[in-house]
Amino acid sequence: MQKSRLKRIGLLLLLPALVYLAFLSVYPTIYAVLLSGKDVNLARPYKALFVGLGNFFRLFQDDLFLKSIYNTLKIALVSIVLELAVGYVVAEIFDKRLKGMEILRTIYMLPMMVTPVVWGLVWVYIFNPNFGLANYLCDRLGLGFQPWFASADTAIWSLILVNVWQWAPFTAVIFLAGLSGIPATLLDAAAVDGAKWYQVIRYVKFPALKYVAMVVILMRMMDNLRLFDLVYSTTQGGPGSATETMSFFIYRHGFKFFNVGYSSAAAIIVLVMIILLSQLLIRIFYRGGEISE
Amino acid sequence: MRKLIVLGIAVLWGILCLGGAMAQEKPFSGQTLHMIMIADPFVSAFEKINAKFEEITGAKVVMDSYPYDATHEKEVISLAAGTGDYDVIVYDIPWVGEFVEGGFVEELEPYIAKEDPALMAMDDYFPVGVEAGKWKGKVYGLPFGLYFVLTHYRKDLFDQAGVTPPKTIEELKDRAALFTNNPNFPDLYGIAMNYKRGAPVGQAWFEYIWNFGGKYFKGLYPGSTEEDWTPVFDAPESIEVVKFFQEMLQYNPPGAINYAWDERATAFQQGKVAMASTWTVRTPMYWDPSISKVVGKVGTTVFPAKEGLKPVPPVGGWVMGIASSSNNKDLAWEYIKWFCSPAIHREFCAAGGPPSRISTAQDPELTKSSPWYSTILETAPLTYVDCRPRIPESFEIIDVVGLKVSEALQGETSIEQAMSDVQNYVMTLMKRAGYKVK
Repeated sequence: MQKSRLKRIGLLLLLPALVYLAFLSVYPTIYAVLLSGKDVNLARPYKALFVGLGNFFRLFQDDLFLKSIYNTLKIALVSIVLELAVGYVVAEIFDKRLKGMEILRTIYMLPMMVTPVVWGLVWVYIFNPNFGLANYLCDRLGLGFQPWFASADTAIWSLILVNVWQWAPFTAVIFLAGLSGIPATLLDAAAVDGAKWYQVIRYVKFPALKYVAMVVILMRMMDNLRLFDLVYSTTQGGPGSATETMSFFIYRHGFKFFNVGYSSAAAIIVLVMIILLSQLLIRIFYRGGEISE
Repeated sequence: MRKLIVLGIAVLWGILCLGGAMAQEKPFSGQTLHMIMIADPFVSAFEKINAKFEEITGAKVVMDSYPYDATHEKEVISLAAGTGDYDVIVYDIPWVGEFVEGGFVEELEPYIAKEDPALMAMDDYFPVGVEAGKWKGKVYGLPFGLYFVLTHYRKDLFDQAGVTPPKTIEELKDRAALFTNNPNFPDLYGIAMNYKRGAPVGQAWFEYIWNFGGKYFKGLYPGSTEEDWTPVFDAPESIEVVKFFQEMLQYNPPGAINYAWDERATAFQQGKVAMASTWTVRTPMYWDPSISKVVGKVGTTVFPAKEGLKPVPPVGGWVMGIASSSNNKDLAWEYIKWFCSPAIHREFCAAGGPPSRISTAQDPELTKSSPWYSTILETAPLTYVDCRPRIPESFEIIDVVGLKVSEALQGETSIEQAMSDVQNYVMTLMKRAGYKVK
């Protein structure tokens, strides 16, 4: 009696959140699925045609879409690897608790605290081939002229650089929390056993950070697969199709041409990809039942 | 005490009466007019003129302005949803078909018919402008912001080098080469052009195609009566235009691959290049001593065509219409007819707006301070209203050309392949939309 009443109250309290979720998440998703079966332009909705899976077939023959998948995966993979590496090194430095580190830590978090669009615009100036800071420094260091965003060869790497610069601090914070969670006794024991510094990292710290890293990889993978704001505010997918990402592809068809059917189909493919990839990642991490809850 | 109360009431009554009288004088007081436009340099001229409108009518004018692509995005979303966010819509000439076919904007013929023809002065606009604001023979937008591309060149440098301004594409190439990497002209490049992916380089292709003797739809050319929407983006002239862009890249400043309208104009304004063919809306920037490094050194000439061809200089710009979803169409029309009237248009141009009326372009006082007006008068009769498409699919077509040309310039694909991709893309698009193609 008491229990069922509690349950009812619990449900009642959940209701606002459920309604919110239904309206802002479930309904749009279902609507997108319905739209993906149509050839429809928002500016001429009266011309809508039902095409079934036609949009999906078209997408897989669309070179630009395939290129955008390749670009997105490249950005995601390289960025995550670099973010993990840089984040770990920075976390180790911050973990030393030296004097003045607190201030440095706050400064280091700065890139993460401002929205990517703002940073994008800032980096456009930094990378400006004619008067940007980056080329001034390159010139001073004898590296010569670099085109940065102004060449298909370098644009994607410049984008990855900005992406890592912005998000490595996030990895660093999480790793720092992980590092401070390692019991001192473990480190002491390793020291007593005569473990070298790299052995401490390999056998004590890495195992302790493994699950933290999993969270980081999962979150960053999802973020990178739908990377948009940075591309929008810097390269707009160009030059050529060098930095076309899946999200920018969806935006271009959805909000430049208003082919909402086609872009919904692309959005659904991205959604399925994210779900599959994250499931795959979770499987890999859970393999062998190492996790005890 | 009682006297004081009576006096107070009397004063209050007086204020109310006065307020009432003023409200009668200002028919739109308390109302707000919302307008949306591109954040082009004419925005500051709008601000000056709008203040006057607010004073006369008592209405408040709220202006939203965005970059090029974002303007299209915001306008379509707001107008398709019919939310009534905006009353006056300022839209680009290539979007006319899209906005009319989508039912976004009101037909203006009935409004115009009710007004004094001297106030509307439709035949005082450059005829190409009136054509541009029409769809299927009916007026939907008044061409208050007609742009032409003029070739701007540095008179001082041309004199120093002893060369004449370019009259043909060949001469343009020649002059661009002359001023690039020339020890007599240190730190100078020949020209600044639009190369950024999307609309910037896409529109550039349309600016040049006619001047290379080409076109983009088989049946769409000046004086055509045939209805044939077969795209011809893979024609030899089209390939030639892209090859020309590729060749000219070496005469542009480094990083030009990301140049759009602003960057190419700024490069010229900062004295980095000897030439720039830019829209007339930016020409006042070169004459403004507070921002320009080339004041008094700039000459203008008609946009060039290939030797032996008659130039078809690009025409473009913005028309002004009433949103179908507006809740305040009376005020919107009041604004449009006032703003576009010859007298106010002259003020708009004096404040830096682009002249769209013949009387303004010939105004002796304005031509003195804006000497490039004479080139506009020379340019206008040569133009062709459909130099860029105005059909509902235009935005997509221009963007796709801009993507593929950019890919070709980056060496991601060959020029022939890129233009053949455009051809296939547009062919599919036109067929799906139900156009007659062969």
